[in-house]
Amino acid sequence: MKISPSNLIFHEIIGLNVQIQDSSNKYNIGIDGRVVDETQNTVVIETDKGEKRIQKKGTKFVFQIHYNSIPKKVQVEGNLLHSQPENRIKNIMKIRMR
Amino acid sequence: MKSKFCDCNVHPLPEGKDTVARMINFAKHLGYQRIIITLHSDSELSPSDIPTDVKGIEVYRGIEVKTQSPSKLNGLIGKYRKAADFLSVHGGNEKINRLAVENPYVDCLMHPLTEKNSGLNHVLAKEAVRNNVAIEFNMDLILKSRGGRRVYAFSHFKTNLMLARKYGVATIVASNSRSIFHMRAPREMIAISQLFGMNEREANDSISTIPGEILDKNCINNGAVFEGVKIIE
Repeated sequence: MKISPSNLIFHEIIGLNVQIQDSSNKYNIGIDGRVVDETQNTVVIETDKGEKRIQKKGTKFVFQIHYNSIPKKVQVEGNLLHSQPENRIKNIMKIRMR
Repeated sequence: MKSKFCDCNVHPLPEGKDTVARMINFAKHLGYQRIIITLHSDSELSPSDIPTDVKGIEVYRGIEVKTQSPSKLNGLIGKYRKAADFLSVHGGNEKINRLAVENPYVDCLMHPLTEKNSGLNHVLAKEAVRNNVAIEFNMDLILKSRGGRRVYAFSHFKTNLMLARKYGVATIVASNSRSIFHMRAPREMIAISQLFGMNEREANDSISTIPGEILDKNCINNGAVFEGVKIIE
């Protein structure tokens, strides 16, 4: 399934460019780079100053995606990404069933 | 920030007695900053007929899904969700109330009172919180009815308010008027809602902040895809 703003939080996010807009840790705000790894609770972002491991909870991410070949910036609450990446895809079915 | 007062449930001509323009003007005269013109889903008017660019007041398009059969409700909600800034369900039937509070696409359950009871219970209240569905207190029941009906209305409103407080359900106070003579000014609405036990702050919130939050969330220009996800540019 192609990535779109509506299925972004269920989708694979490794490889997307991301920026941190807001965080409970103020030193994380403004980190900019590419997602290279993901666990249940964290996201690893590759930046100019090395790889940074960021907690998902309490963080606002801005992902850059191409939707219908138009570049778009989508703001996502990190709490919604809180799950193992391989299990997140299951949630899309739950939403549809409702 | 000064809160904007909003009347969430106003029915114009095919169902009511006054035209859309007259109702908007009268709401402006009463001191509302926002108004939601609500059409029933079986109305002859379509939401695109409502003018939204009116000077001095923000006009929103609302749809109240009205059906007798519970099996058709979810289909109708899906059909009208994109066309409306504010989507509510015409309650008054136990099965319809239950389905409405279980659907996260619904903004508000209008007049949930059934013939026998208040239409809400602890189960429905919990579901309403989980799915972010607000509960409406329709003032026309107090203003228009007399005698026993009004007494029962007060008692059911009290029950609903108690449940809303206990579980944290969002409440909306709206006029549900079908004519300009049934519309009331915001301060009057707050005063009337204090009669069935609301305190001033709750009443103020349920006529200004809560509808405002719902509208801001739903507005297409806002770019929100769903809760927590937003298109910035």
